[in-house]
Amino acid sequence: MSEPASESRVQDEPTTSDGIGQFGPLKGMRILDMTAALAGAFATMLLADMGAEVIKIESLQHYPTPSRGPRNPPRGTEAGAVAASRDYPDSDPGEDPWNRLSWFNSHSRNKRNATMDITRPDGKELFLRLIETADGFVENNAAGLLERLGLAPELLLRRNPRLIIVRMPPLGSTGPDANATGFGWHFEELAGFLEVQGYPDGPTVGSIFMDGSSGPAGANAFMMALLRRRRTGEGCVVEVSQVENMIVHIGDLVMDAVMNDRVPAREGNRSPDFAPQGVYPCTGEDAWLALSVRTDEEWAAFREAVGDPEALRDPAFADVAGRRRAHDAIDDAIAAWTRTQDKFEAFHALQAAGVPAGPVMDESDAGSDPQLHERGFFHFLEHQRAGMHFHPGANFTFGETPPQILRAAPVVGQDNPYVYREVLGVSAEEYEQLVRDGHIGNHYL
Amino acid sequence: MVDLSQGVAGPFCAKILADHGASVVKVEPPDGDETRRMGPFPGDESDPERSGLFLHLNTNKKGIVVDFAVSGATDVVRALVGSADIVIESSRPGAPLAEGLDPASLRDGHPGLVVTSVTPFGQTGPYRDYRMTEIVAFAMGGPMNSSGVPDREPVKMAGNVVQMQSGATAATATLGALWHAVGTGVGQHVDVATYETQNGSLDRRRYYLLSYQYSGYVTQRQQKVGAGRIAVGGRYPTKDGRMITTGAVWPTHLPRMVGVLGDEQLSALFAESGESVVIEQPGLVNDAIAAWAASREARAAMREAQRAGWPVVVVNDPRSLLTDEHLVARGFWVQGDSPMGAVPYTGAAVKVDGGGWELRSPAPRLGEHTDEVLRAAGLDEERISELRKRGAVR
Repeated sequence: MSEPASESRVQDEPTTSDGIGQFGPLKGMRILDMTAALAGAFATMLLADMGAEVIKIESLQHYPTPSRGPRNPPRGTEAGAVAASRDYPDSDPGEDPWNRLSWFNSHSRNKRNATMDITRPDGKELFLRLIETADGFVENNAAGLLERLGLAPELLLRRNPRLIIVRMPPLGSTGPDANATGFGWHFEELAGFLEVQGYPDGPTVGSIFMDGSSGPAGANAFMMALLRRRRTGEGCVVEVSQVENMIVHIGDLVMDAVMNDRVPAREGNRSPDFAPQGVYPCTGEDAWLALSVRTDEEWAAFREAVGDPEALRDPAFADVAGRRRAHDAIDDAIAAWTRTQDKFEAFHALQAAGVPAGPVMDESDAGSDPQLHERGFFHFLEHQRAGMHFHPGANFTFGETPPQILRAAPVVGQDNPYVYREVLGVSAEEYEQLVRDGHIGNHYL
Repeated sequence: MVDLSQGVAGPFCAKILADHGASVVKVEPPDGDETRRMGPFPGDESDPERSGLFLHLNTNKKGIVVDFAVSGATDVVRALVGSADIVIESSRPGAPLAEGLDPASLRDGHPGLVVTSVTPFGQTGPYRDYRMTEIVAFAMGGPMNSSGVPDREPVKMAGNVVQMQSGATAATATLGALWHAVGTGVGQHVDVATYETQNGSLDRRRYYLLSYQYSGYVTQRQQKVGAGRIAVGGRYPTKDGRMITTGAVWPTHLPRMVGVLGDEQLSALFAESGESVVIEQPGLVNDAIAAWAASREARAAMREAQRAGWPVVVVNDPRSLLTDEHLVARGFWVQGDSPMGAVPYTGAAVKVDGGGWELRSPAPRLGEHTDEVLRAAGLDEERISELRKRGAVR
């Protein structure tokens, strides 16, 4: 066990055979997951990949569209239906689209899934009993949802003083606009991203960066509170303001505003520090090569690698200032070369010369990428309702306690027998009653 | 904690831990971390002490300068590592800063030490020696192929966000390894590849990769607001010279929007034909939103719409963030010292039991803490002055 001697479980560890919760640095940690959509789910995925037993709690009475997609996705040959179908195996939503959705299944491998209706008193009590066995609880719902459900953090901490509660409201829990809602696009605008992102001559371009940055922040929040608990013996609430966390990721651009009292220029693919930098067209349809030349040495190496064309020999290009001034002309000359090149061959040739370059890789390129395959990034897993597929694995590797990707995403309620019988110690009779009461099941009501 | 890393990702990882209380020594070569030569700079004049990027990435660290070309320099770093729990490093695999500073040697004799390598492609594999910049990271690892508009080139995200997100992921792994080490006494080498942090990131690359496995679908560039079903919505100017955005207006929000706008013609049409008004008369809907926005200040418009359950927010940019009412009220901006005098720094995005984040000191000047750090590591004045004389430390 990785748990230090001073840490003891609230109740005996139930035994399972699938290995979830039995590996990695977080072996023995249990985390309840009441996340919506992707930000919180990404955080719990990172923790599950380090060995925590993550149990997502759902309610059969409340269909979770943001997490599991439309209950009845459009079907047929209309453009909207075709677009929606791409996220399902063989482009077929099937009878239970919620179990077959790529968004959900991409982050839910290694997690467990159990159902209970926490809006009813008996469901709430079941949830609180589960809380008593947990180390962590992660949620990223609208500000105040837990309180409205009667599951305020104070109550949870009373039932389990060692519980670490990670809350991830988009705008934090205080301040005049804490209750504002929106989608990723809204919060990127609030965080000042779009104005500095996109083509210099317009339009701005959304990046959907918030969830991607919130996941590690949520996982870090849990880990820091866990280290604190080791010292104090106490759990606590950890709050991640997702918008503020995004802003930390553009702290350099904010510094520009601070130091120069200006809105930083929208640079597109160029860099204020390196020149040339951009993406350049290669042979084939929609094929591009990205590259940066950071130093004069890299410039010399670049020229040589591309055959030292006349257009790049101007002595004015010897330093970065000169290359920035002539960026358009240099771009034209680079494109004249890349248009004759395969994006992968150009990538390897430039990297061999010491120039940072890389193909713009689509999903097909990534799926067959030798680097990802050699490092074991993809895992071939069988999902009960989606079949066998390669799944993206862990985002890091460890020498001593490596991540393991043990199981594809669970279907709704797949782990009810384990959670109720083994963790909560419910009798067979009680279990059947809970099925009749609509807490336990595998179909949304 | 010893931060041997350079650039963006490794130092951002160390910053996260430093900002939350870790005691971090940053080791720099004589010409400084490469980000000291990257902007923004005041007046756009390069100055190694005034890089906005460096100042942001290295808060709360103490700085020491070591010249690895001089004998004895490696011993200095090894002395620092001797009392450390964590080392962050970003050297190319197989090409450490100096002999004896590769991850395996660092751990030799320190079984409890966590060494986290934050590199472009990881410690193994055919790309392990390849180089990476922000744009290359996004091109290869992220959804750049679907970022932008269809008839133009793909476009990167703002600033250095990809590499910072990679650093944040490295912090997650480092904390995991630290947890294991404090419980068992066993440290380890953690291998974080920016390439994998991006292919595994969620929203969106991770799920795009599974969608591709499911259906063979390859994502395309498409502008997300102002097309097809979502032909209305986006940015609208307000009377205070700012802008709001409605994002894409979703069907569930339409009745709330129509109610807030109070436009007679639109209300009548909506009552008659429902949500199809958006597709049939986008011009009319856009005009109604524009007129409503133009008669209000941005923040007031946001709050009026939000009260009715219609998601509208003010549009910020990196400068307007500094005076954003909500952020200011939360105390997000923290004044701190800098070579330009007091400036606001980004504050606590994560609060552990309401706190835990603190700006104790700004990023170090080059070699600012060399003597202090060496003394704390147990070197006497004679030894320090000898190392300085030979140029091993500065």
